[in-house]
Amino acid sequence: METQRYTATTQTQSALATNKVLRNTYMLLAMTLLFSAATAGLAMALQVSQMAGLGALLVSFGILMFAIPRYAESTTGLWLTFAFTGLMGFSIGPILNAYIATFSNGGQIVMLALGGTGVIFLGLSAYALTTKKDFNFLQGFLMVGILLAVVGSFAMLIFPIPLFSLALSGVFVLLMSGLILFQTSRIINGGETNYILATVSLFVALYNLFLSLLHILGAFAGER
Amino acid sequence: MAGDLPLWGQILTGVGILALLFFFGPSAYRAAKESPKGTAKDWLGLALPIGGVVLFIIVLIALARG
Repeated sequence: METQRYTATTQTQSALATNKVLRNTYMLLAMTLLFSAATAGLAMALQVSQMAGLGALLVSFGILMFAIPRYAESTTGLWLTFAFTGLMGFSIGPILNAYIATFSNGGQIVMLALGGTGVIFLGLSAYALTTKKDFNFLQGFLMVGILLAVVGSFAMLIFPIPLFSLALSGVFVLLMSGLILFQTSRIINGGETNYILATVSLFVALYNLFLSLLHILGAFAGER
Repeated sequence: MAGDLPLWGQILTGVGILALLFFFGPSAYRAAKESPKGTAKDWLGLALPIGGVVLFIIVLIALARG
């Protein structure tokens, strides 16, 4: 009897902790998305160059790799998350300006990519939350897949092959969809207890998903 | 076949690729070997939402084309 009560209490505490991580993650994700949208808007209004965008991306990559993992347990981690997402948003500004300038329906493509990213994220999150499936088996696959895809993206800078670049965007959409499922299932199954790391992971997935969708829609439906 | 990048940019990108493989390659390989392997049922559970994403993107392209 005492053991049953102890088990029930432990399960309730675990569920409460999971709900707290999930709630904090979505709240921080919403705030960082709004902030990165504002910095993207700022970069667009200032007509920032592609090189400045690339510089912002490199700095944000440094924050992601070296600073956030070290300070993820403290309030400094929160500020670093905002710095990271703000710079990522800033780096999108010149890309969006280029799409709007290149395609006559550039504005429509950007809005469709934005809406599509939102629908995919909500759909995949709802699937992971309602089915409560454990997607932990994706960990190794995602790590190797994302590493190879990033290496492929860098290689595209040296050897630009449009068809391969488009295929890479398709691969990124699938990998980032997998990452959203994996990260959400980790939160609800108790594998991820740090909401800063969870937010950053989901933000990276959304960022890449949006850029990949933009590329695919531009390639298939862009009118010059 | 090289892109618009100047030579120093290409060299820097090449160094970046090697650095990525050097720093993250071993941990990715270890994760691939040590992470739990999914059963056929697990992969089927993944195929459903991923298939949905693919269908949705086809719809998005059709919408964008008008």
